[in-house]
Order: sequence, then structure tokens, then C-alpha cells
Amino acid sequence: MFPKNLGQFIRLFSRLPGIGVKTSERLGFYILSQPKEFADSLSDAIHFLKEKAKLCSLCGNISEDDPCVLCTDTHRDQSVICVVENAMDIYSIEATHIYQGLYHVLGGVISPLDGIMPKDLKIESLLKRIQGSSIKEIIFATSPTTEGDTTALYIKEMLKGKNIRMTHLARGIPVGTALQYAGNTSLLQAIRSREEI
Amino acid sequence: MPLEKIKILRFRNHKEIEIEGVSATNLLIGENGSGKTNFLEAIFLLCRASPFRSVSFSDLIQWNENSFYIGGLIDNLQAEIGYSLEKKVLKINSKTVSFQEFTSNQNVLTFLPEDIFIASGSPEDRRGFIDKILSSLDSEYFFALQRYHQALKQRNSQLKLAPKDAFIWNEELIRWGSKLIEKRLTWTQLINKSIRPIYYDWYQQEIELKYLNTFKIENSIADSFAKTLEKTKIQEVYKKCTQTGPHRDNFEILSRAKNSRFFASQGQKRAISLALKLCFLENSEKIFGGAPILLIDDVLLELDANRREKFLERIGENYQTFFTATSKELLPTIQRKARVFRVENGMILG
Ligand SMILES: [Zn+2]
Repeated sequence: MFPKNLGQFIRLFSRLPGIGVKTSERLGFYILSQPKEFADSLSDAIHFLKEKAKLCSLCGNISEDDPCVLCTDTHRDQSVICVVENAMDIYSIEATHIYQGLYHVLGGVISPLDGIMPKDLKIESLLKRIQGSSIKEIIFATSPTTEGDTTALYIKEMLKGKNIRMTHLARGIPVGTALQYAGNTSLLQAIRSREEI
Repeated sequence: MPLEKIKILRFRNHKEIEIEGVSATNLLIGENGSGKTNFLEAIFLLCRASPFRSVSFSDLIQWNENSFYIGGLIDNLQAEIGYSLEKKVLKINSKTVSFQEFTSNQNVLTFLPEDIFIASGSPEDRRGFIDKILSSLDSEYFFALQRYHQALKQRNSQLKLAPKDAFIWNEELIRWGSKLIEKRLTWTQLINKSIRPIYYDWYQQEIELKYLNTFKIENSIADSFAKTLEKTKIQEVYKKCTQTGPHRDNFEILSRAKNSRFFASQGQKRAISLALKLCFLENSEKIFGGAPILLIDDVLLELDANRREKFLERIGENYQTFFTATSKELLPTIQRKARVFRVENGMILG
């Protein structure tokens, strides 16, 4: 039986995604073996993470300011919005340094099996944002699944007749994968979304 | 040679098995429950990364253990599949790969006792038989089937929660559903071109695979599907589930216009399932190339010796094969050319 505080730590940490009880135990013992300062800065980091972070009221990004730095940056292309499922996806796309437009976080995908309906997502706010704006293109970066594709189609349907270009990310073979291992389905999609060289 | 070596750890009733020098023809002899079928299932997993009957991965782990491992040398590639704590790991040549990458390596086709349901089972059983064969031979079909069923589940859930928005799922349903129907039509034609001579040679009867779609196809499949969904709209709101589509398609085996469930003997029913699988096998080779590994589990004894030989002749030396039987005297032709393994309580003695 672990001491009460350690037990509490293990129970809480094992609720984190990807962390089981065994890993949680290891983390607990590791923190105990470190100087007090480490434990203090770790607990501060967790504390302020939630206290300082806000959701941007325009795009749904996680930020210390509202609106966020991406929304207030006038150098960014104001005519294109990239629609993502979660705020984390913004950081994946930003890391490529190739995209210079705006973002919109849906907060998930339509999935009645999980009780998630269009009204539970930030679709209404996206439509409002586009209304009367200079948006010319929407890039859907939703996942290439039944739910991701259907969510994109649903939004496309809502914007019918608005004269906005709508695209989704190309699908196919992951970079670095040899053709023979790509699998028929990936290969098929890659051929369909081939591009000029 | 497709499969040359195999190592199995903590899988079903096999604690530890390591076999080198797997032969082109292999015969596993053992009592029922000794582990012959489990061994075949291990080979299947190594090719398709999924079990051949619908069970969860955790059910495949040996009793009182918490992980299993299967590794093998297939076509000079080291394939490995491991499962522990709800996590699956697939590797080719020690590098973690995706499901698609893993399964594009080697095809496999099973001949199992329950295949007889194509001639005697419910409409679900018969559809399941066709779906299973096509899923293991045609990866595009497999993908379309998964996407279709996911869209169907979401749509049915939508019909229960907010039926007026069910249309959201139509595009996905129609897209993948049409693909399934198109492939089922094409395959039914191919099968009917080749099944007559095979079965006639065995039973001097003509048989035919009949595919019954749930709606009439005019112009394109997708358009007809869309129109039918529109027509069943009111009915499905009331029934709270999708009323039309390939999940309700039907397959029948007909002989001189009589339905196989009413005429065929046990031996005939078995012969029908074997002949069908042979046709799928031979046609898929013509389309995709590459000879699948054949796993033939206890299905030959219902045929009389003469027809059994005809079946084996047809397979010939074209495939790597794994047969199972309770005694080697039962399959003399196989025994002569096979490497014979004895299976006892999960141990394999070669
Ligand atoms: Zn923002």
C-alpha cells in the first residue's frame, strides 16, 4: 500500500491520456527522488496552465490573450481559414511554417454515436465569422475518417452558394513510405489527388 | 516461399512455438481442441493483422498471460505482430508500420467449417461469407466495407437522436455503399463465369451465384441509391434505422432455379462453399496477382474421396497450403508431399 499522497498522485496522473498506473507510479517515485524545486515548478506549471490559458473567442485557439496572436496578426492572410478539429492541430500546422492564413477550431467532429451533433461544435460561430468577411477559401484539415469527412461536407453544405473555394488536405502516401508498402487504398487516394510537377 | 519461419508466444493455447523450414504443403495432425486451428489463426494474423473470426484481440491471449506475439518470415520480410494492454504493434523488418502497410504484404484465404453457411445459413451469414472473402482478397473492398459500416452506424444513431439531420451521412453512405455494390456486381459476374465448370465436374449440376440488391439500378448506382434513400425517408424516421443499402443485400446459390438451402446435401453444401472459394481465389489472382496462402481447416472430409482429389488437383502446387485433420490417413495425397506436424495440447511437434 502506497502512502496516501503518493496513492492520490498515481490515481490522478493515470487519468492522463497515454499514462497507465505503472507509468504513473514511476513518475511519482521519480518526482520524489528529485529536489523540492523541481516539484514546485512542476506544480506551478500545471496550476498556471489552466489559470492563464483562455480560449480565443474568434477562432477557439488556446491563448493567453483574447483574441489570440494568430487572429490579431495583420500580416496573416485574412482571406483563408483552415478548419481544424482541435487547438492542438493548429500547432502541428504552424510547425510547418507554410500556412499563413487564419484558423477555426471546431472542438471535434460530428458523431451521433458519441452524442456529438453539429450544434455541439463551433460551426455556427464559423458561419458567423464568414458572414460579411473577406474569406475566399476554406481549407478543411479534419481527419480523413467517416466523421471528419462528413463534418467537412456538412459545413460545405451550409455555405452553398457563397462563392467560397473549399478544399481539404491531400490524402495518400506518407512521405518516406516506399510505394510497395503504401497499401492499395493509400495508393488509390494518392493517384486521385496527384499534382503537377 | 511465402511463409518460411514462424514464432508464436502466449497465443490461444500455444505457450511457445518456433518452426523453421515451413514447407509448401503442410499438414497438421491432432485431436479437436489440440490447437490446430489456433495455429492457422496465427498465420492469418501475421498476414491480415486481424483474427479470422470476430473476436477481440484480448481473447487471443493465452489464459493468465497479458500479451501475445507472432513473428514470421514471409516473402523474405520479417513480419511481427504484438499485442499487450490494449495496444497493438505491427512491424515489418523491425520498423513499426501502419495497418495498411502491414497487410499489403501477403494475402491469405481461409477454408473454415462455418463456410457451409453460404449454402445453408441466414442472409446475414451468406452476405458475411462474401464480405469476408472479398475483404481478404481485395483491400479496396475491405476499406469500403469499413467506411460504409461506420457511416451506417452513425446514420442509425442520428436517426434515433435527430432524424431530420440523417441526410448528413448520406454522402458517405452512398459513396462507399455504391463502391460495395459495384464490386459485388463485378465479382458475381466473374464467379458465374467460372463456377459452372468446377461444380459441374463434381456433381453434374449447374449452379449459379445470385446477387440481389435492395433497389433497382438505373443510370448510376450512386444516383439510384440516393433516390431510394429519399423514398424510404419517412419509413426510416419511424423505424429509426436505415432501410436500404448493401447491408441488406442478399446472395443465393441457385441450382436449376432451386435454392441451395432446400436441395443440397451436406456434401453438396460443402462442395458449393469450396467451389465458390476456388473461384474467388483464381479470379483474384488474375486481377491482383500474387498467390495467397491457403488455410484449409477440417473442411475436406465431408467430400467423398473422388471429389476431394478433384479439389486438391485444382489447387495443385500453386499455393502454400496448411491443412488440418485428426488423422493423417484421412488425407493420403497431402500426406505424401507435406511436411507433417503433430499437434498436442498447444505443442507442435514436427
Ligand atoms: Zn484566435
